Amino acid sequence: MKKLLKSHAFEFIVVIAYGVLFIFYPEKTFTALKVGLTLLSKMLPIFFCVVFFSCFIAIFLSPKTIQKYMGQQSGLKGVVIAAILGTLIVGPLWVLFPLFGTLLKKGARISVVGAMIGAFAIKTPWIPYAAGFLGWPFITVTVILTLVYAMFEGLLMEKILK
Amino acid sequence: MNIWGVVVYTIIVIASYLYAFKKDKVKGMKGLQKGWKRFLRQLPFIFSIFLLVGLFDVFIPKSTVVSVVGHGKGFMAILNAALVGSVVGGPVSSVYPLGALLLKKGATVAVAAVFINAWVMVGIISMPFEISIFGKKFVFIRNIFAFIGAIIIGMLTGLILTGNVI
Repeated sequence: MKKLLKSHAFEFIVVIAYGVLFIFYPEKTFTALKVGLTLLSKMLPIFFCVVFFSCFIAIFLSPKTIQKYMGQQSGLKGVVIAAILGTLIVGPLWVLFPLFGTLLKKGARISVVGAMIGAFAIKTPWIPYAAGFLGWPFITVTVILTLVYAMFEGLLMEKILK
Repeated sequence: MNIWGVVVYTIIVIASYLYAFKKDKVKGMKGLQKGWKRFLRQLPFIFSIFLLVGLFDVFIPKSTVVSVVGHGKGFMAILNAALVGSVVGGPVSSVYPLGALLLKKGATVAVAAVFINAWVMVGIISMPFEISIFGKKFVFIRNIFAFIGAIIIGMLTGLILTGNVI
């Protein structure tokens, strides 16, 4: 029980907030519930797709594959490829940061790793989900700008750190 | 999200797994199992975050949001959004609905974009872990770049979509 409480603290807080607010503002809280559930019904199918697509990518673009692939890349082309790969990589930070670290240790250039980390801010499987909330123009512009900035960031980081 | 978005994405997912199974049955199966497990595991969180957005939507008046990050707040609004986005980390599944809520409550496009960018680019909470792998100097410079980038990209997004950088 204690473990459950700890791992789902956020969920419990939301439930408690609903309970308390319901006592004082029953009508407003009910509206909030309705808003939340409507959102859920709209976005759950997309979320379902996001999770399965992420798992597909995670399996076919494993850290090993990336390492092997990036080992052969260099120059500006390497930076561009790294940024594009960065948008495709999915997974938790505690898996990906060590991967980036290994790349650096194995001799990958700072520009390449920097661009990859920068582009990691774009999570391709999440793009349709983000568009569902913010619209396609918003997310398209953000993705393009982030991609360009990631390459620029990688190159500049190399200049500074070298 | 319209129904076509769901249909297209579903087709993409089905196609990707058809490819996966053709290439490697074991791996494809592993992907499906992993996906289902992860979906169930994340379900309570996504459920809660949407319910929280519902609460914010009903209980936080538009005027409050506008008075902090609305038009006319100038660069302070941008800076506040960047700082809050950098400090509050969390799954990406939560940042997009919160960003959309900001927009709905009267924040400018630039402010919402800066908030979202800072959230996904800068990692204050994960910094100690990042330092243990890359060292202080690398992480410090990377996060500075990410912070500035979040602001630049967000302001440009505002400029492109609405004609306003703030």
